Amino acid sequence: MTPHHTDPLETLAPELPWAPDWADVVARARGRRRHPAGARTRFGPTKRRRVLVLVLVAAVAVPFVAYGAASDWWFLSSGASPRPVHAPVVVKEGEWSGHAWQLVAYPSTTDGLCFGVTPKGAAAGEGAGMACAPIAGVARTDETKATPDMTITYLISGSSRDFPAYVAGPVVDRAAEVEIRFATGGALRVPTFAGARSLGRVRFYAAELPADVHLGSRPTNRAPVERLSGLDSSGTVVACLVPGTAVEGISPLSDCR
Amino acid sequence: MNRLLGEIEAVYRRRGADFFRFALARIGEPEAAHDAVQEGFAKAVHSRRSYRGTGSVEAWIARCVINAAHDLLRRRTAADNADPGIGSSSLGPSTSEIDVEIVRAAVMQLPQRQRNALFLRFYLDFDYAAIAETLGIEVGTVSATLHAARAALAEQLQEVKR
Repeated sequence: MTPHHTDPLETLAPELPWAPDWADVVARARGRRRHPAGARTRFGPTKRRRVLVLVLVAAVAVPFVAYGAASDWWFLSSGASPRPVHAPVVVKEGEWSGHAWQLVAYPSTTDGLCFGVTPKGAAAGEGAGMACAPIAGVARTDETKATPDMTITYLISGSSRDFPAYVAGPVVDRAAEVEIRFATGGALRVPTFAGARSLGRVRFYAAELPADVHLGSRPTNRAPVERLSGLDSSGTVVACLVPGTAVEGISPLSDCR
Repeated sequence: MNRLLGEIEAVYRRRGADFFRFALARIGEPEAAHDAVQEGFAKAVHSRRSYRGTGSVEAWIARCVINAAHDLLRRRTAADNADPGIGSSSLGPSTSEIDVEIVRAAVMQLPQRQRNALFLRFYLDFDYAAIAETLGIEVGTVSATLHAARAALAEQLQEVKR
């Protein structure tokens, strides 16, 4: 290396102590992140929260004005979505307050299961959103990022002029119902439905948000969803996500009991 | 396959600090830079079967680290857009931080290819062939890319000084 001491690039990245941790590299490569005893994870609580809001971001921060034909989904034509392992599948169609929608999903090569909600038949796709996450029961590829499998996650979108607010997502296939507790204090309990066999062992849920849940007015640093529980047919918790405390999208089941 | 794993580990132990500086220049935060290096090498270990064996292992790993840094920045930008309160600070930057920010702002003005080429050359001491291999460009264009990057960076910084 031939850096000159006055080179601006020296300023940009000074020589800081480097703490090699090969075991952590290997653990990440195997899909598990190593947390040395007594040590904090690389990302502190704030960063964890940042990762967790990604799913929310995909829906809220991307006001897609796009609607794709079956062979030309907006999320693929935008070029920003992970590459699919196979063609997206329409998991379910429905209607919220007179607005038809489709829940679409596909396994990606790098980011686990991608799923999205698309207004159906609208001239513009306002309200459309998508997110990706590694979910237990969905096959990984060689390129899938080394983050642990989640049992449940969510995509949430605030109401727009053309489309109602909603929450949707995948959950492990043992879940018969999903209970969503919102930061505003309201709660919602919705049945799950099966996905296509090609997606893996995963179920989905989707619901219009109650009128008292206002995403736009949520306090800073506070996720709109306080707790997300997947329940089996006997009411036992089989999936859990508490965005405020989860680490890399994972919450112990005990957090939802 | 185990031989390649050994080579990746050797690169990590020999050049880890340089990759860390490389990621730090790209991302700006030591913790996140460390994370990008770890993720990049993990990606290399995980997908080592896809390494064709025709180019340098270091160039291939550099591509993995660049992608990891890119993913991290993309996630962070998205998260910040969603909730601007996260990570905000009421403290003003120190003088040295301002200097760094000036350089960073100037560097960020460069096209991504020029920026990556500059960083690969400066922090990892890659030769033209390795830079070309990492960025997927012709060896013959590396010199011009570096020259353009240097000229643009100097001009940006000169403008700030005026």
